[in-house]
Amino acid sequence: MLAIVLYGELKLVHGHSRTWFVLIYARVVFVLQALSSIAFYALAYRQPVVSTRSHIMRWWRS
Amino acid sequence: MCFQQKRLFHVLTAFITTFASIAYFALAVGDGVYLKEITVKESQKHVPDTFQTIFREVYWARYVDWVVTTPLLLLDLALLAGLSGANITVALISDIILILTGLFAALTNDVNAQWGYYAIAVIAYLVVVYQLAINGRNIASTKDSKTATFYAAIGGFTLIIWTIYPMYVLILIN
Repeated sequence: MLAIVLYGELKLVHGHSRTWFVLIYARVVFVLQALSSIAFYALAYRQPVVSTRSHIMRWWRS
Repeated sequence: MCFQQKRLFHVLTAFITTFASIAYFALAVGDGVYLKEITVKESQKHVPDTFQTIFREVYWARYVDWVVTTPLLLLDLALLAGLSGANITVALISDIILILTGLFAALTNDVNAQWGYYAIAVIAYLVVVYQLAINGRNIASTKDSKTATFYAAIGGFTLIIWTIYPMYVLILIN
């Protein structure tokens, strides 16, 4: 899996957009990223609501 | 780790994957690509010089993606470690410089300029490494062992992956 991702990314760095591999790779990664977004939003909003402002102020002063 | 932090981490990670998915969508439909024109001169002995024009693809959509997602990724790590606001700002700005100089290096045809941009990017990268690996690890080590171990694992993984990229670019420039 990691090898496929590395291969795809290095192909993109080198500038090979129209090969069948890169086109399929981009589509697959797009779907996986979009699904991950939904999952992370769902996970985030399962946490209780708290004041963000106080957290940010505490962080800035830390 | 309190609830508000957990929520913040999830929201930041959701933003990262959202931006990344848009960038990969652009690539999947053939957008976000700039064709850089390069003219190669070939000197001949008995006939006039010949010129060959080649086009190299530059994926500017990826740089737009990275200029948003990598600072968010660093913010995730920095908040996990508990870095101060000043240190986080330095890390994020250095990261933006790193990505933008990478874009400028990809767009230019001048090899000397590419080396210049590369040098600036490496300095910016070292600043990011310093903030994460030295400051971040020191502060994370003062937290509970679970957080410290988790930070070391994902921070280390991020830095290893991020180091492969400039090494590959170095090979490409040569």
